[in-house]
Amino acid sequence: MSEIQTHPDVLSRTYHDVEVAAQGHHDDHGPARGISRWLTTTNHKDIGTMYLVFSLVMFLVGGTMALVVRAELFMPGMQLVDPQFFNTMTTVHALVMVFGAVMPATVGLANWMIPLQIGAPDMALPRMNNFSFWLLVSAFSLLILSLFMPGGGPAAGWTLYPPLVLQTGDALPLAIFAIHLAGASSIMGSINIIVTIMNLRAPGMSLLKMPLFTWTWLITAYLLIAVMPVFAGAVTMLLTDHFFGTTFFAASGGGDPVLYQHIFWFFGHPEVYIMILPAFGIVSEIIPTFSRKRLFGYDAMVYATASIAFLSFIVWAHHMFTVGMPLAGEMFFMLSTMLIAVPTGVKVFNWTATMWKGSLTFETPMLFALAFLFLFTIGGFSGLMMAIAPVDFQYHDTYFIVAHFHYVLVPGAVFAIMAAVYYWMPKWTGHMYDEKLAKLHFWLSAIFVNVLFFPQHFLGLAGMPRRIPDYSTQFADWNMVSSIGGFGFGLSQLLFVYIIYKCAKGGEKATAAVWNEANPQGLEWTVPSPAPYHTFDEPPLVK
Amino acid sequence: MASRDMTRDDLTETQRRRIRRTTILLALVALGIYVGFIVSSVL
Repeated sequence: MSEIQTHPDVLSRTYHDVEVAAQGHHDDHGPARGISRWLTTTNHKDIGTMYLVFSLVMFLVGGTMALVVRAELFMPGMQLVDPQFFNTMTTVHALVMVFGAVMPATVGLANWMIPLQIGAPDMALPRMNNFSFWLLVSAFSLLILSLFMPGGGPAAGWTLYPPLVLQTGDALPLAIFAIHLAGASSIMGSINIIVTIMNLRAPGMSLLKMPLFTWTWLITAYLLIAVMPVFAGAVTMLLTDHFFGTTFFAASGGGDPVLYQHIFWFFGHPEVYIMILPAFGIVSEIIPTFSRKRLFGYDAMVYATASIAFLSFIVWAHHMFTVGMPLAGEMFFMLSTMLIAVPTGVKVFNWTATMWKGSLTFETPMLFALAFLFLFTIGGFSGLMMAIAPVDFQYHDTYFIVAHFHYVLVPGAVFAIMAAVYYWMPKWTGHMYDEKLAKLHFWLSAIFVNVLFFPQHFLGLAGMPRRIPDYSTQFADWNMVSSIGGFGFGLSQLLFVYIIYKCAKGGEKATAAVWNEANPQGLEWTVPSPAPYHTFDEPPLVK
Repeated sequence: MASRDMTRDDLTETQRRRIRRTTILLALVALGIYVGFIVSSVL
């Protein structure tokens, strides 16, 4: 990447080649017309768009479920829904947001941007790419349909702990099948990303010249292949315990319910990094662009990402300190968890150092990236607090945990995804978005997200348990504030949908370099905006 | 389909072989982990 920046002659030649190739293909080989374009497409840009639209729909569906939860918690007492449905909402909200919204959004960004960033004509396995996407749609259709099964939808929390989850009605096999399909889709998508990056990079683009977004996705894809089968194994065993008389997790038959928790969190903790590593990559692209500087410590960023991925495999039991484990075990998981702060700190300091003495401007992608930097760090720090085993005994299963992981996932992962959408949307559509509206969207989101989640720290420290539809009156005030924040944040996202729609329809023409005419960083800025349907028929040259 | 997406013909023989090999290897790793975790839970 650094070489691309320092050789404008290479850039201009690449741009010329790409433009000629794109024009040559545009007339003869455009996309198919009508619905068949979307059903049968093997084009990475089409599939990326479908992933992004799907994730936006899931954000709205999962967000609506969150608003049901916040509406019920607006005041103490039972107001709107019965406890079973409340639990279903918390469970399905989480499953939809994790597997249907955040992950597909980053997969959509990967589909769009990785081939453009490494100079590849498409993904290496285009038909499998199409299959992965439609498998995901099937998975979430089944999961949403499970809400209408006799006995209601799954309601044991997204962790699906036995024995509680085995009390689920007819929805259980449907939900488990949906998880299997979503997992298969993720694994196929990951294989595709790894194979593409390892085999289709432009000549001259060595691994340590790849953009950070591509790097973080490469590492994320390995994480996915390592842990999605673990989750699939865990839910398969739930299925056989429920229907085929096995007792993997039933103490009455010699099994152990705590075994499920170990297996789940061996998957679940790397899953957190599966959502956040691509966000790190996005922020590592945006901050240098709007600082007009090269990323500080590129190599250190790559190694820090790999270190975080490795450490994510050896910290899982910090989610279950309270089940009881030997002191040595508690010490190991406590200290290994704290160790994650080191590579994460490297990243935060490098982003800050990148901005140091830069020519900063504050367009919407940069605003979201900066909010990420501050607010994700709050989530990181509360994570460190919970890593301390004796202290975690107080925090466990309280709203403090809810506040922590929502800070990591909403102003963390989701803000990074929004930053990426604003950053790359001109490249996708060929139009600039409405900057004024986008800034309004940013400020509304940044304010309301804190009104929504910050009071949950106070509620948790005061002892309010999570996953309950009713609570003691001492928690009433902060719950009301949090709910107001929730509705404010939810409504602000309608503005996001409108801005995307408006940008797709038209607007000021975007240039090829979009943000940084003098010194564009990365191959994606060498192709015209919108990026032609087919790019890099001739591999670009990277020196 | 009217569009011309990337086809196998656009890749060199070496690339095709490497793509096939890596895909099969990664799929087997995923399958191995899935079966391995279930089997280790039986034992």
